[in-house]
Amino acid sequence: MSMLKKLVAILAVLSGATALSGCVATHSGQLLISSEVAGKGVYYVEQSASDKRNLAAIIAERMQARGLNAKAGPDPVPNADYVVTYVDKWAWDMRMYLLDLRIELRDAKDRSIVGFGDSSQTSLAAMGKTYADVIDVALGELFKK
Amino acid sequence: MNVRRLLRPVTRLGALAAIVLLGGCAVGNRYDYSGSLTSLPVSGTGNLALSVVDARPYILSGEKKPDFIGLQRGGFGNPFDVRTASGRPMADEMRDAIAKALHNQGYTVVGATDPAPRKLELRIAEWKTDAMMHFVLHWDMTLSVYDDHGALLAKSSGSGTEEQGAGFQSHNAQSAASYFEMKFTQLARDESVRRALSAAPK
Repeated sequence: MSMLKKLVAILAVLSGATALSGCVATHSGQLLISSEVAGKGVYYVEQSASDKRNLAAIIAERMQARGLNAKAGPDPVPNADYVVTYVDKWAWDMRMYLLDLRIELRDAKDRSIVGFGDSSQTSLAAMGKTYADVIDVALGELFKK
Repeated sequence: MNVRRLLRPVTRLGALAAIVLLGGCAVGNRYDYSGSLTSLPVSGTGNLALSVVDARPYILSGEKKPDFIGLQRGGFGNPFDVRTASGRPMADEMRDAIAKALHNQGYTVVGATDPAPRKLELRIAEWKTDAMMHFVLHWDMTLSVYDDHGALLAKSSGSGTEEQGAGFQSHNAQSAASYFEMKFTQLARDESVRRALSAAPK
């Protein structure tokens, strides 16, 4: 019987660990230019070829809300200092949710990377969040002071 | 009936489940750095010698093989080695990535001992990933530019620990490659490095 108790204890620990790991959100980011320089930049948000939800427009809108000069659209902004690109990864758990969003900032002259902001969230952590919420988190990591 | 005998299949199943849980997706992970860089904030023409020196203490001591990148942990934190996708040393994959990007920027990249007006050396004192619930990178690198007589012209260094959400192998591999692009570009953006590389005699 002691063996049965051990088995039950192991199963309880495993289910506890699984339950705790269900609600995880992690964020990271880095910017290689000063926030002063970033604040004066002109940004063009380039739509990802695989994005059918037009996140580019929401990213540009959320950047504008931060006081940044950002535009999205089919035509590149000719005087842009930086190009904003992104990779959105989706997963299904009774509905599609944004599993990971990585926003990258690239120098418009040579396309070298200047910064990134990333927001990853599991299904539970993503519950009730809009695209704009996730974008805000990633932008917050990118432009954090 | 004997309880022990009754529980035997359950124990076997438990052992099998433990193996899957402990190892699972953690075994045999491989990351590829060779295509991690596309462009750099430096440009120029002419020959540029390039070397990447793996100076990680556990590589120098022989404790780990040169294709070691880091760790992927199983269900209980048990570590499994992550290696390069090609099976070649990590420094060679990183050199390939830097060489491709420098070629895109106009340089003709040659071997470390070939004659060239400038030599670019990346020394890796630490580059180790560690993935479980989080993806963690420990790094410490120095980028140096030398002239054709071996005199140091410019140097930029960086180190630290980065952390972000972990995922399956492909996500972690992409995180590792993205961090390499970010960290190498950070070193290459240094004004003295850019000046030394752009002022190379043709």
